[in-house]
Amino acid sequence: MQRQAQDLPDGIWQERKAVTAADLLAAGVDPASPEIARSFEQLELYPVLSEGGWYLVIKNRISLEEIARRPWRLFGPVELLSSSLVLD
Amino acid sequence: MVRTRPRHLLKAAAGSSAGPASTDRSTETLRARDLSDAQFFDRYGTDRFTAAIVANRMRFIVKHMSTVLLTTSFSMILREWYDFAVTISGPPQMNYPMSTGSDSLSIFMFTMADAVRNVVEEFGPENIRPGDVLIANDPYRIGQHVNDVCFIRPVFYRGELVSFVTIRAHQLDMGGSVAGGFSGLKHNVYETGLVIPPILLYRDDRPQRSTFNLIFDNARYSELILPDVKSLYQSLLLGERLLMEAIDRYEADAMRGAIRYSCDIAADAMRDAIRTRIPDGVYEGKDALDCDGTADQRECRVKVRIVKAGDRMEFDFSGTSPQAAISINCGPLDAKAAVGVALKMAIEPHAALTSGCFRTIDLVIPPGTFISATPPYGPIFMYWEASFVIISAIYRALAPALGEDAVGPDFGSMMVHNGSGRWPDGRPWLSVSTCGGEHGPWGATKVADGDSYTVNHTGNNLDPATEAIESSVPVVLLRKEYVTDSGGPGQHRGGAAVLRDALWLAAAEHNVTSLHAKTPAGIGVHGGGSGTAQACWMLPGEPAGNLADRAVTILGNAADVYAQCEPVAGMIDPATGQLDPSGRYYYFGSRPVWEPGCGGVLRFRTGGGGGWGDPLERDPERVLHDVRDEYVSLAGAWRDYGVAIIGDPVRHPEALSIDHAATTRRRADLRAARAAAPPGPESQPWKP
Repeated sequence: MQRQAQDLPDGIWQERKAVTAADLLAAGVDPASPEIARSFEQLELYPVLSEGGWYLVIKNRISLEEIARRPWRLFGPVELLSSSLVLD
Repeated sequence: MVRTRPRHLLKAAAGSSAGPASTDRSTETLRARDLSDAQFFDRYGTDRFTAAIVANRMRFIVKHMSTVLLTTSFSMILREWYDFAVTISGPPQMNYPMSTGSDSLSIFMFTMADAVRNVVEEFGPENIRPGDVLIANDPYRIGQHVNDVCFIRPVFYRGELVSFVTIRAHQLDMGGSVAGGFSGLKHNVYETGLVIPPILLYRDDRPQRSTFNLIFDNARYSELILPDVKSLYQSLLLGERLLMEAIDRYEADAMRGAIRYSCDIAADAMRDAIRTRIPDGVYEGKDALDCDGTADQRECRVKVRIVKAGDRMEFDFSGTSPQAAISINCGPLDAKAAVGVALKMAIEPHAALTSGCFRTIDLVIPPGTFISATPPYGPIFMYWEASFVIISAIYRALAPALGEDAVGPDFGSMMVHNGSGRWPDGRPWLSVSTCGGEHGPWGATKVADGDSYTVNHTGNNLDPATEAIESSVPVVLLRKEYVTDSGGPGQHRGGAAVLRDALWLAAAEHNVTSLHAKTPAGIGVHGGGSGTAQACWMLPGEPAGNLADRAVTILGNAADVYAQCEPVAGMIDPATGQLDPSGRYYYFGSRPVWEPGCGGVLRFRTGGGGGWGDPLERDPERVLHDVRDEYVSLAGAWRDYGVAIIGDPVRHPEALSIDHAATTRRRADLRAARAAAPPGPESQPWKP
């Protein structure tokens, strides 16, 4: 049997969110600074897995320059149902 | 356990609580080796000499712990396979940096840094105390599969939590639908086996009976698991004691400094390699597992886009296929480990393996792919198979940038065998990962030909002795030999495929998982050719009985024997039963179990390793030796290498000679033919 390209499942894509001023402020970055303003259109917000676990990053998509990085959830996209319990 | 479905990433992020404190991603760009003595002391809280001594001491400790486990464990998977790894991690306030790993499975060690953090953070660092052993095995929390249980021992010094010693060790069974567990045909987490969240196995150095019962009430072969766990516990106690002795001698600050120093050294080495070995740019690669379990023609395709800028790399796996309906997926921590292994193999093999290797590396992994599966219907068991294609895709992507330094994949799929049955007296037996195609060749490199019988790139463990296998289960390993003309041709030849025959002496249930049979996994690099693809056959015996008083038929290796066999997996000509790249694809999951019966044989042929460099540049004398040693046939020497060998390699191997004039003419003809036409598929990397 030969492979048939049309039978292959479509891939899944990671969304990269266009950054807003609110995103930058939440990450402790001044959106009005000249450096940020110059590259604003190139900034994206998305989760990454790296040393130390999962993070939400804001990066320049052209240069990979990192504008902000803050820890994300412990298990990334998976959440425990038990997280909804009130334990104390 | 019940979990929510993964939420949309960015929506979820907005309302989620933050994870643990970030590891310092080192805005301090000065490398550890370039620090002055004063700067070194400021950063690490100790001097350079002491940091090096303590770091070496920690390496000694994990090796010592490993030796204890190898020599005291009872199950074959630990004592003969070395299916475990040992690490040391720093405390919560350092974000659990993994500074030290043992000699075995690199893919274990690269997940254990995250595993320790995730287990301790969920359990609550404030809830642990001296004398605890925490365990967990959930693939979605800590990577790998449910049989690979993490045993975590917190180490306290004068009341302060200073580090963790951890062993991840394969347990013989964790329940689920298949004894032993090694099956690619399970459909959800409930079939893969018992999921253990972070819980205490020991408290105040006393076994927690409820935890032991949880395991023993769900797992098979518990009478072997119990002594293994006792050995694991003793190994953890040894590690703790040796760490305490080191702290007594060098102080806790030096221990913390050495942990950070070890991670920084690894980070510096990887950062230097990224900066100097790979030009800035974008690189893309693909590879695929044969099928996703819903239809045998639907591949699981991994796609990676690597952006390299300065000393940073980003691996974006967008475009990768959805998670499979069968247990051939892996989780994101496994994907991260695979990236680490690929970079260690390709650009930075020298520094120790620590969590610091990822300091300037980010992975972008959309959830719900077959390399980032989510519970409960993205089952994970044969996780390494997905890891292998990640590694292969990265090798393919980076090959043009690496040039002569490029490396090719190994044999690509372990074709793991899992067999279980009962002895005549009713006792159960289990054979896991010892009688299939678990070991095979590597690709060649600029340095040498590829080895022909070794472990895959993610492991560094052992191949159990034939005698140990045959004394444990009713099998005779009839054959373990190399296949002529199976290694990819090249200036350096790829390792040869391995042909293994297992004669089963009693009826039993067998699982075979072959996932890279449609195309060769062992692609050539830098102008080398590909190796051959993998396959598996079954020669049926009797439905039941015992072979004690019967004559045994030895399955030969001539071409005509395959017509007697049933294809289990591979690209096979239905008429002849032989391996044939243009034949029909036989799906390993076409039957839930394979039953060769009593006296039946399962034959495994691994993939061959890819070649390195132009085969027409291989020294004819080396081709002569290849023919003498039956790595290459007379016809293969002529066809692939352009070398004319005269003689009979079987009857008079030492009388072979080279026809130099014919060789010169043949190579000139082959070069002229190349110039006139583009290279054929044999010398092209596979393109899906």
